[in-house]
Amino acid sequence: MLILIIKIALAIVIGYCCSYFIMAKRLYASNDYGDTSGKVQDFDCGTWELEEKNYYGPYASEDWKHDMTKAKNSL
Amino acid sequence: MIYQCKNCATALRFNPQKGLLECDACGSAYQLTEYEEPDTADGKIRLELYSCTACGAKLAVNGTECSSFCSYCGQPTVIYDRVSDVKRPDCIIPFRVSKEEAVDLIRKQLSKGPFIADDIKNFEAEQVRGIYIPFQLYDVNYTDSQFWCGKIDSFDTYHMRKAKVLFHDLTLDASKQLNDDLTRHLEPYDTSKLVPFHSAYLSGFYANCFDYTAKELENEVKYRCRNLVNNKILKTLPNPEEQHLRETYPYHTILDSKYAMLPVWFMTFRHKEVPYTFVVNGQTKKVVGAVPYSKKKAYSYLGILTAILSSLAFLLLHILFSLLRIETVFDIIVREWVNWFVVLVACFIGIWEAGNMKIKKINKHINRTKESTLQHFAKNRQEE
Repeated sequence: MLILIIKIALAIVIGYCCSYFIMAKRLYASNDYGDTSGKVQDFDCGTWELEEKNYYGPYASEDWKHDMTKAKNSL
Repeated sequence: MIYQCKNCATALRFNPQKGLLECDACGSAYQLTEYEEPDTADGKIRLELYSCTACGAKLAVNGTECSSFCSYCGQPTVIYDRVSDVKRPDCIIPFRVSKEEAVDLIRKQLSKGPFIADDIKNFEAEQVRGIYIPFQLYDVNYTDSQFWCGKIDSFDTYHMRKAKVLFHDLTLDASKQLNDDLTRHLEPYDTSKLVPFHSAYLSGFYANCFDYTAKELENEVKYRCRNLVNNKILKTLPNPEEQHLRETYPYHTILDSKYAMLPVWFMTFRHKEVPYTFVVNGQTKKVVGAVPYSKKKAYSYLGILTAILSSLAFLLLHILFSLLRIETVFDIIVREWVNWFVVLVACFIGIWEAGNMKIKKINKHINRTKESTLQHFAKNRQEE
Protein backbone atom coordinates (compact mmCIF):
# COMPACT_ATOMS: atom_id res chain seq x y z
CA MET A 1 0.00 0.00 0.00
CA LEU A 2 2.77 2.42 0.99
CA ILE A 3 4.68 1.65 -2.19
CA LEU A 4 1.57 2.55 -4.19
CA ILE A 5 1.33 5.89 -2.38
CA ILE A 6 5.00 6.57 -3.17
CA LYS A 7 4.42 5.74 -6.85
CA ILE A 8 1.37 8.02 -7.00
CA ALA A 9 3.16 10.87 -5.22
CA LEU A 10 6.17 10.61 -7.52
CA ALA A 11 3.95 10.43 -10.60
CA ILE A 12 2.01 13.55 -9.53
CA VAL A 13 5.23 15.49 -8.88
CA ILE A 14 6.63 14.49 -12.28
CA GLY A 15 3.34 15.16 -14.08
CA TYR A 16 2.70 18.52 -12.42
CA CYS A 17 6.26 19.87 -12.87
CA CYS A 18 6.40 18.90 -16.55
CA SER A 19 2.90 20.28 -17.20
CA TYR A 20 3.72 23.56 -15.50
CA PHE A 21 6.86 23.93 -17.61
CA ILE A 22 4.98 23.15 -20.85
CA MET A 23 2.22 25.63 -19.94
CA ALA A 24 4.78 28.35 -19.15
CA LYS A 25 6.60 27.70 -22.42
CA ARG A 26 3.38 28.00 -24.42
CA LEU A 27 2.44 31.18 -22.58
CA TYR A 28 5.86 32.63 -23.27
CA ALA A 29 5.48 32.04 -27.00
CA SER A 30 2.95 34.86 -27.25
CA ASN A 31 4.33 37.05 -24.47
CA ASP A 32 8.09 37.04 -25.03
CA TYR A 33 8.20 40.83 -25.49
CA GLY A 34 10.43 40.47 -28.52
CA ASP A 35 13.10 38.56 -26.60
CA THR A 36 13.17 35.52 -28.85
CA SER A 37 12.33 37.18 -32.16
CA GLY A 38 15.49 39.25 -32.27
CA LYS A 39 18.32 40.39 -30.09
CA VAL A 40 18.36 43.63 -28.19
CA GLN A 41 21.10 45.74 -29.75
CA ASP A 42 24.22 43.80 -28.99
CA PHE A 43 27.83 43.84 -30.03
CA ASP A 44 27.18 43.95 -33.71
CA CYS A 45 27.04 47.75 -33.70
CA GLY A 46 30.75 48.29 -33.38
CA THR A 47 34.32 47.19 -34.02
CA TRP A 48 35.76 45.35 -31.06
CA GLU A 49 39.30 44.73 -29.90
CA LEU A 50 39.59 42.81 -26.68
CA GLU A 51 42.90 41.95 -25.05
CA GLU A 52 42.79 39.25 -22.39
CA LYS A 53 45.50 38.51 -19.88
CA ASN A 54 45.21 35.97 -17.08
CA TYR A 55 47.74 35.85 -14.29
CA TYR A 56 48.61 32.52 -12.70
CA GLY A 57 51.60 31.33 -10.70
CA PRO A 58 53.60 32.54 -7.66
CA TYR A 59 53.96 36.18 -8.75
CA ALA A 60 50.48 36.52 -10.21
CA SER A 61 49.25 39.23 -7.86
CA GLU A 62 52.45 41.33 -8.24
CA ASP A 63 52.33 41.18 -12.06
CA TRP A 64 48.65 42.05 -11.97
CA LYS A 65 49.20 45.03 -9.62
CA HIS A 66 52.10 46.20 -11.79
CA ASP A 67 49.87 46.25 -14.89
CA MET A 68 47.15 48.01 -12.89
CA THR A 69 49.54 50.81 -11.92
CA LYS A 70 50.72 51.04 -15.54
CA ALA A 71 47.11 51.42 -16.73
CA LYS A 72 46.46 54.09 -14.10
CA ASN A 73 49.58 56.06 -15.09
CA SER A 74 48.78 55.87 -18.78
CA LEU A 75 45.57 57.85 -18.28
CA MET B 1 3.68 70.20 -46.02
CA ILE B 2 1.26 68.25 -48.19
CA TYR B 3 2.55 66.46 -51.28
CA GLN B 4 -0.19 66.58 -53.92
CA CYS B 5 -0.82 64.25 -56.82
CA LYS B 6 0.30 65.87 -60.08
CA ASN B 7 -2.68 64.28 -61.76
CA CYS B 8 -5.64 65.03 -59.44
CA ALA B 9 -4.16 67.18 -56.62
CA THR B 10 -5.11 64.67 -53.90
CA ALA B 11 -2.75 64.37 -50.93
CA LEU B 12 -0.21 61.58 -51.47
CA ARG B 13 0.77 58.86 -49.04
CA PHE B 14 4.10 57.07 -48.73
CA ASN B 15 3.76 53.38 -49.58
CA PRO B 16 6.23 51.46 -47.38
CA GLN B 17 6.36 48.35 -49.57
CA LYS B 18 6.98 50.15 -52.86
CA GLY B 19 8.91 53.06 -51.41
CA LEU B 20 6.82 55.43 -53.56
CA LEU B 21 4.37 58.27 -52.96
CA GLU B 22 0.93 57.03 -54.00
CA CYS B 23 -2.38 58.69 -54.70
CA ASP B 24 -5.37 56.93 -53.13
CA ALA B 25 -7.77 58.64 -55.57
CA CYS B 26 -6.28 57.99 -59.04
CA GLY B 27 -3.63 55.39 -58.24
CA SER B 28 -0.68 57.43 -59.56
CA ALA B 29 2.71 56.75 -58.01
CA TYR B 30 5.72 59.04 -57.78
CA GLN B 31 9.35 58.77 -56.79
CA LEU B 32 10.30 60.95 -53.82
CA THR B 33 12.92 62.64 -55.99
CA GLU B 34 10.09 64.07 -58.12
CA TYR B 35 9.16 66.34 -55.22
CA GLU B 36 11.48 68.97 -53.94
CA GLU B 37 12.02 69.42 -50.23
CA PRO B 38 10.83 72.81 -49.01
CA ASP B 39 13.57 75.27 -48.15
CA THR B 40 15.26 74.01 -45.01
CA ALA B 41 18.01 76.55 -44.64
CA ASP B 42 17.25 77.01 -40.93
CA GLY B 43 17.36 73.22 -40.42
CA LYS B 44 13.65 73.05 -39.53
CA ILE B 45 10.51 71.53 -41.01
CA ARG B 46 6.94 72.73 -40.66
CA LEU B 47 4.57 70.21 -39.10
CA GLU B 48 1.13 70.28 -37.51
CA LEU B 49 1.17 69.38 -33.86
CA TYR B 50 -1.58 67.43 -32.11
CA SER B 51 -1.75 67.10 -28.31
CA CYS B 52 -3.46 64.49 -26.20
CA THR B 53 -5.38 66.11 -23.36
CA ALA B 54 -5.34 62.86 -21.39
CA CYS B 55 -1.64 62.10 -21.34
CA GLY B 56 0.11 65.13 -22.80
CA ALA B 57 1.68 63.32 -25.77
CA LYS B 58 2.51 65.43 -28.80
CA LEU B 59 2.37 64.02 -32.30
CA ALA B 60 3.43 65.78 -35.45
CA VAL B 61 1.76 65.33 -38.82
CA ASN B 62 2.75 66.72 -42.18
CA GLY B 63 -0.73 67.58 -43.35
CA THR B 64 -2.11 64.40 -44.87
CA GLU B 65 -3.46 62.95 -41.64
CA CYS B 66 -5.57 64.23 -38.84
CA SER B 67 -5.56 62.72 -35.43
CA SER B 68 -8.59 61.30 -33.63
CA PHE B 69 -7.04 59.19 -30.90
CA CYS B 70 -3.80 59.04 -28.97
CA SER B 71 -1.48 56.22 -30.01
CA TYR B 72 0.08 56.04 -26.59
CA CYS B 73 -2.88 55.96 -24.24
CA GLY B 74 -5.64 54.96 -26.67
CA GLN B 75 -7.93 57.86 -25.63
CA PRO B 76 -9.94 59.82 -28.19
CA THR B 77 -8.85 63.04 -26.54
CA VAL B 78 -6.48 64.39 -29.16
CA ILE B 79 -6.82 68.04 -30.12
CA TYR B 80 -5.19 70.08 -32.83
CA ASP B 81 -2.52 72.23 -31.22
CA ARG B 82 -0.63 74.41 -33.67
CA VAL B 83 1.60 74.53 -36.70
CA SER B 84 5.15 74.43 -35.54
CA ASP B 85 8.67 74.50 -36.97
CA VAL B 86 10.56 71.57 -35.57
CA LYS B 87 14.18 70.52 -35.97
CA ARG B 88 14.69 68.65 -39.19
CA PRO B 89 16.08 65.13 -38.66
CA ASP B 90 19.40 64.34 -40.34
CA CYS B 91 18.29 60.95 -41.57
CA ILE B 92 15.43 58.49 -41.56
CA ILE B 93 14.73 54.79 -41.98
CA PRO B 94 11.51 54.78 -44.03
CA PHE B 95 8.69 52.39 -43.16
CA ARG B 96 9.16 49.04 -44.88
CA VAL B 97 6.20 47.35 -43.20
CA SER B 98 2.65 48.29 -44.19
CA LYS B 99 -0.21 48.75 -41.73
CA GLU B 100 -1.82 45.47 -42.86
CA GLU B 101 1.44 43.61 -42.38
CA ALA B 102 1.87 45.10 -38.91
CA VAL B 103 -1.65 44.02 -37.90
CA ASP B 104 -1.03 40.53 -39.33
CA LEU B 105 2.22 40.27 -37.37
CA ILE B 106 0.47 41.17 -34.12
CA ARG B 107 -2.41 38.75 -34.86
CA LYS B 108 0.12 36.02 -35.63
CA GLN B 109 1.92 36.73 -32.37
CA LEU B 110 -1.32 36.62 -30.37
CA SER B 111 -2.56 33.49 -32.13
CA LYS B 112 0.49 31.67 -30.74
CA GLY B 113 -0.97 32.17 -27.28
CA PRO B 114 -3.52 29.45 -26.51
CA PHE B 115 -4.48 31.07 -23.19
CA ILE B 116 -5.09 34.59 -24.42
CA ALA B 117 -8.64 35.87 -23.98
CA ASP B 118 -10.69 35.85 -27.20
CA ASP B 119 -11.51 39.57 -27.00
CA ILE B 120 -7.78 40.32 -27.09
CA LYS B 121 -7.16 37.93 -30.00
CA ASN B 122 -9.96 39.55 -32.02
CA PHE B 123 -8.75 43.07 -31.38
CA GLU B 124 -10.05 46.04 -33.34
CA ALA B 125 -7.40 46.97 -35.85
CA GLU B 126 -8.59 50.57 -36.13
CA GLN B 127 -6.22 52.00 -33.56
CA VAL B 128 -3.07 51.22 -35.49
CA ARG B 129 -0.73 54.02 -36.33
CA GLY B 130 2.69 54.35 -37.88
CA ILE B 131 4.88 56.76 -36.00
CA TYR B 132 8.43 57.84 -36.68
CA ILE B 133 10.19 57.80 -33.32
CA PRO B 134 13.08 60.19 -32.69
CA PHE B 135 16.43 58.59 -31.98
CA GLN B 136 19.86 60.03 -31.46
CA LEU B 137 22.55 57.96 -33.15
CA TYR B 138 26.12 58.07 -31.87
CA ASP B 139 29.53 57.03 -33.05
CA VAL B 140 31.55 56.42 -29.91
CA ASN B 141 35.13 55.46 -29.25
CA TYR B 142 35.20 53.57 -25.96
CA THR B 143 38.22 52.13 -24.15
CA ASP B 144 38.44 50.40 -20.80
CA SER B 145 41.08 48.53 -18.79
CA GLN B 146 39.56 46.28 -16.15
CA PHE B 147 41.30 44.37 -13.38
CA TRP B 148 39.49 41.43 -11.87
CA CYS B 149 40.40 39.08 -9.07
CA GLY B 150 38.67 36.03 -7.68
CA LYS B 151 38.94 32.36 -6.96
CA ILE B 152 38.82 29.16 -8.98
CA ASP B 153 38.87 25.96 -6.90
CA SER B 154 40.19 27.90 -3.88
CA PHE B 155 43.14 29.32 -5.92
CA ASP B 156 43.44 33.10 -6.27
CA THR B 157 43.15 34.21 -9.88
CA TYR B 158 43.86 37.58 -11.48
CA HIS B 159 42.69 38.90 -14.83
CA MET B 160 43.17 41.95 -16.97
CA ARG B 161 40.86 42.88 -19.84
CA LYS B 162 41.52 45.76 -22.22
CA ALA B 163 38.67 46.71 -24.52
CA LYS B 164 38.83 49.13 -27.41
CA VAL B 165 35.51 49.55 -29.14
CA LEU B 166 34.31 51.79 -31.91
CA PHE B 167 30.53 51.89 -31.67
CA HIS B 168 28.84 52.88 -34.90
CA ASP B 169 25.28 54.27 -34.89
CA LEU B 170 24.50 53.37 -31.31
CA THR B 171 20.77 54.08 -31.09
CA LEU B 172 19.24 55.97 -28.16
CA ASP B 173 15.57 56.81 -27.92
CA ALA B 174 15.13 60.59 -27.71
CA SER B 175 11.46 60.51 -26.76
CA LYS B 176 10.22 61.11 -23.22
CA GLN B 177 6.86 59.46 -23.84
CA LEU B 178 8.21 56.06 -24.65
CA ASN B 179 9.49 53.61 -22.15
CA ASP B 180 13.21 53.11 -22.90
CA ASP B 181 12.89 49.43 -22.26
CA LEU B 182 10.26 49.17 -24.98
CA THR B 183 12.41 50.95 -27.55
CA ARG B 184 15.44 48.85 -26.58
CA HIS B 185 13.43 45.73 -27.30
CA LEU B 186 12.50 47.08 -30.73
CA GLU B 187 16.17 47.16 -31.64
CA PRO B 188 18.24 46.39 -33.58
CA TYR B 189 17.53 48.60 -36.57
CA ASP B 190 19.55 48.10 -39.70
CA THR B 191 21.22 51.51 -39.76
CA SER B 192 22.88 50.76 -43.10
CA LYS B 193 19.44 51.52 -44.57
CA LEU B 194 19.41 55.08 -43.22
CA VAL B 195 18.67 57.65 -45.91
CA PRO B 196 18.85 61.44 -45.83
CA PHE B 197 15.64 62.91 -44.44
CA HIS B 198 12.87 63.94 -46.85
CA SER B 199 9.57 65.14 -45.42
CA ALA B 200 7.68 63.10 -48.04
CA TYR B 201 8.52 59.98 -46.01
CA LEU B 202 6.19 61.34 -43.32
CA SER B 203 3.19 61.39 -45.70
CA GLY B 204 0.54 59.17 -44.16
CA PHE B 205 2.50 58.72 -40.95
CA TYR B 206 2.99 60.54 -37.69
CA ALA B 207 6.18 61.75 -36.16
CA ASN B 208 7.09 62.22 -32.56
CA CYS B 209 9.31 65.22 -31.95
CA PHE B 210 12.45 64.66 -29.92
CA ASP B 211 12.49 65.57 -26.22
CA TYR B 212 16.19 65.00 -25.63
CA THR B 213 18.98 66.56 -27.62
CA ALA B 214 22.14 64.65 -28.48
CA LYS B 215 23.93 66.54 -25.70
CA GLU B 216 21.31 65.62 -23.09
CA LEU B 217 21.71 61.91 -23.80
CA GLU B 218 25.49 61.83 -23.50
CA ASN B 219 25.41 60.34 -20.01
CA GLU B 220 23.08 57.66 -21.25
CA VAL B 221 25.54 56.90 -24.06
CA LYS B 222 28.32 56.40 -21.53
CA TYR B 223 26.12 54.11 -19.44
CA ARG B 224 25.03 52.08 -22.47
CA CYS B 225 28.60 51.63 -23.77
CA ARG B 226 29.80 50.65 -20.31
CA ASN B 227 27.07 48.02 -19.98
CA LEU B 228 27.80 46.55 -23.41
CA VAL B 229 31.53 46.38 -22.67
CA ASN B 230 31.08 44.98 -19.14
CA ASN B 231 28.71 42.27 -20.38
CA LYS B 232 31.13 41.25 -23.10
CA ILE B 233 34.08 41.17 -20.68
CA LEU B 234 32.15 39.14 -18.11
CA LYS B 235 31.64 36.44 -20.73
CA THR B 236 35.41 36.07 -21.14
CA LEU B 237 36.10 35.50 -17.44
CA PRO B 238 36.32 31.98 -16.03
CA ASN B 239 33.74 31.53 -13.25
CA PRO B 240 32.44 35.11 -13.62
CA GLU B 241 30.25 34.83 -10.51
CA GLU B 242 33.40 34.27 -8.44
CA GLN B 243 35.23 37.29 -9.88
CA HIS B 244 35.24 40.82 -8.51
CA LEU B 245 36.03 43.96 -10.43
CA ARG B 246 38.89 45.56 -8.53
CA GLU B 247 39.69 48.54 -10.75
CA THR B 248 38.43 49.94 -14.03
CA TYR B 249 39.63 52.79 -16.22
CA PRO B 250 36.88 53.63 -18.71
CA TYR B 251 37.20 56.43 -21.22
CA HIS B 252 34.88 57.44 -24.02
CA THR B 253 34.78 60.01 -26.79
CA ILE B 254 31.67 60.78 -28.79
CA LEU B 255 32.89 61.15 -32.36
CA ASP B 256 29.62 62.02 -34.05
CA SER B 257 25.88 62.16 -33.45
CA LYS B 258 22.87 62.22 -35.75
CA TYR B 259 19.19 62.92 -35.22
CA ALA B 260 17.22 60.15 -36.90
CA MET B 261 13.60 59.09 -37.26
CA LEU B 262 12.99 55.35 -37.01
CA PRO B 263 9.69 53.63 -37.94
CA VAL B 264 7.38 51.98 -35.40
CA TRP B 265 3.81 50.72 -35.72
CA PHE B 266 1.71 51.24 -32.58
CA MET B 267 -1.43 49.38 -31.72
CA THR B 268 -3.22 50.27 -28.51
CA PHE B 269 -6.21 48.34 -27.28
CA ARG B 270 -8.07 48.14 -24.02
CA HIS B 271 -8.75 45.05 -21.98
CA LYS B 272 -10.80 45.47 -18.80
CA GLU B 273 -10.32 49.24 -19.08
CA VAL B 274 -6.52 48.92 -19.06
CA PRO B 275 -4.64 50.07 -22.17
CA TYR B 276 -2.03 47.78 -23.70
CA THR B 277 0.31 48.91 -26.43
CA PHE B 278 1.88 46.54 -28.94
CA VAL B 279 4.61 47.88 -31.14
CA VAL B 280 6.13 46.57 -34.35
CA ASN B 281 9.50 47.58 -35.71
CA GLY B 282 8.54 49.24 -39.01
CA GLN B 283 11.74 48.04 -40.64
CA THR B 284 12.50 44.56 -39.26
CA LYS B 285 8.93 43.38 -38.37
CA LYS B 286 9.90 42.62 -34.80
CA VAL B 287 6.83 42.53 -32.51
CA VAL B 288 7.13 43.74 -28.92
CA GLY B 289 4.36 43.41 -26.37
CA ALA B 290 2.67 41.07 -23.95
CA VAL B 291 -0.96 40.60 -23.00
CA PRO B 292 -2.77 39.11 -20.03
CA TYR B 293 -3.72 35.47 -20.27
CA SER B 294 -6.92 33.82 -19.14
CA LYS B 295 -6.12 32.11 -15.83
CA LYS B 296 -9.16 29.89 -16.23
CA LYS B 297 -7.89 28.59 -19.59
CA ALA B 298 -4.32 28.22 -18.30
CA TYR B 299 -5.25 26.30 -15.15
CA SER B 300 -7.69 24.03 -17.00
CA TYR B 301 -4.89 23.18 -19.42
CA LEU B 302 -2.52 22.62 -16.51
CA GLY B 303 -5.03 20.32 -14.78
CA ILE B 304 -5.70 18.17 -17.85
CA LEU B 305 -2.03 17.94 -18.82
CA THR B 306 -1.06 17.06 -15.23
CA ALA B 307 -3.62 14.24 -15.21
CA ILE B 308 -2.31 12.83 -18.52
CA LEU B 309 1.38 13.15 -17.69
CA SER B 310 0.91 11.84 -14.14
CA SER B 311 -0.84 8.74 -15.49
CA LEU B 312 1.99 8.18 -17.94
CA ALA B 313 4.57 8.73 -15.20
CA PHE B 314 2.71 6.30 -12.94
CA LEU B 315 2.81 3.66 -15.67
CA LEU B 316 6.54 4.19 -16.22
CA LEU B 317 7.23 4.10 -12.49
CA HIS B 318 5.23 0.90 -12.19
CA ILE B 319 7.34 -0.73 -14.93
CA LEU B 320 10.55 0.64 -13.38
CA PHE B 321 9.65 -0.66 -9.93
CA SER B 322 8.88 -4.09 -11.40
CA LEU B 323 12.19 -4.18 -13.29
CA LEU B 324 14.11 -3.14 -10.18
CA ARG B 325 12.03 -5.56 -8.09
CA ILE B 326 11.01 -2.91 -5.61
CA GLU B 327 8.00 -4.32 -3.88
CA THR B 328 8.07 -2.77 -0.42
CA VAL B 329 9.32 0.42 1.24
CA PHE B 330 11.88 -1.80 2.93
CA ASP B 331 13.44 -2.53 -0.53
CA ILE B 332 13.81 1.22 -1.15
CA ILE B 333 15.55 1.82 2.15
CA VAL B 334 17.79 -1.25 2.22
CA ARG B 335 18.86 -0.98 -1.43
CA GLU B 336 19.52 2.76 -1.04
CA TRP B 337 17.05 3.95 -3.68
CA VAL B 338 16.04 6.87 -1.45
CA ASN B 339 18.88 9.10 -2.72
CA TRP B 340 17.95 8.39 -6.34
CA PHE B 341 14.34 9.31 -5.69
CA VAL B 342 15.40 12.54 -3.98
CA VAL B 343 17.57 13.41 -7.02
CA LEU B 344 14.66 12.56 -9.34
CA VAL B 345 12.26 14.83 -7.42
CA ALA B 346 14.90 17.61 -7.28
CA CYS B 347 15.33 17.41 -11.08
CA PHE B 348 11.61 17.82 -11.67
CA ILE B 349 11.38 20.66 -9.15
CA GLY B 350 14.18 22.27 -11.20
CA ILE B 351 12.00 21.92 -14.31
CA TRP B 352 9.10 23.49 -12.41
CA GLU B 353 11.34 26.39 -11.34
CA ALA B 354 12.39 26.97 -14.96
CA GLY B 355 8.70 27.27 -15.83
CA ASN B 356 8.10 29.53 -12.86
CA MET B 357 10.89 31.85 -14.04
CA LYS B 358 9.15 32.10 -17.40
CA ILE B 359 5.83 32.96 -15.72
CA LYS B 360 7.54 35.69 -13.69
CA LYS B 361 9.11 37.05 -16.87
CA ILE B 362 5.71 37.02 -18.62
CA ASN B 363 4.13 39.01 -15.77
CA LYS B 364 6.99 41.50 -16.02
CA HIS B 365 6.42 41.79 -19.78
CA ILE B 366 2.69 42.37 -19.29
CA ASN B 367 3.41 45.18 -16.84
CA ARG B 368 5.89 46.69 -19.29
CA THR B 369 3.24 46.65 -22.02
CA LYS B 370 0.96 48.57 -19.68
CA GLU B 371 3.76 50.92 -18.63
CA SER B 372 4.66 51.65 -22.21
CA THR B 373 1.51 53.69 -22.47
CA LEU B 374 1.73 57.26 -21.38
CA GLN B 375 -0.03 56.82 -18.08
CA HIS B 376 3.15 57.25 -16.09
CA PHE B 377 4.35 60.01 -18.32
CA ALA B 378 1.03 61.86 -17.86
CA LYS B 379 1.24 61.45 -14.13
CA ASN B 380 4.77 62.83 -14.10
CA ARG B 381 3.72 65.80 -16.18
CA GLN B 382 0.82 66.58 -13.90
CA GLU B 383 3.20 66.54 -10.97
CA GLU B 384 5.73 68.78 -12.71
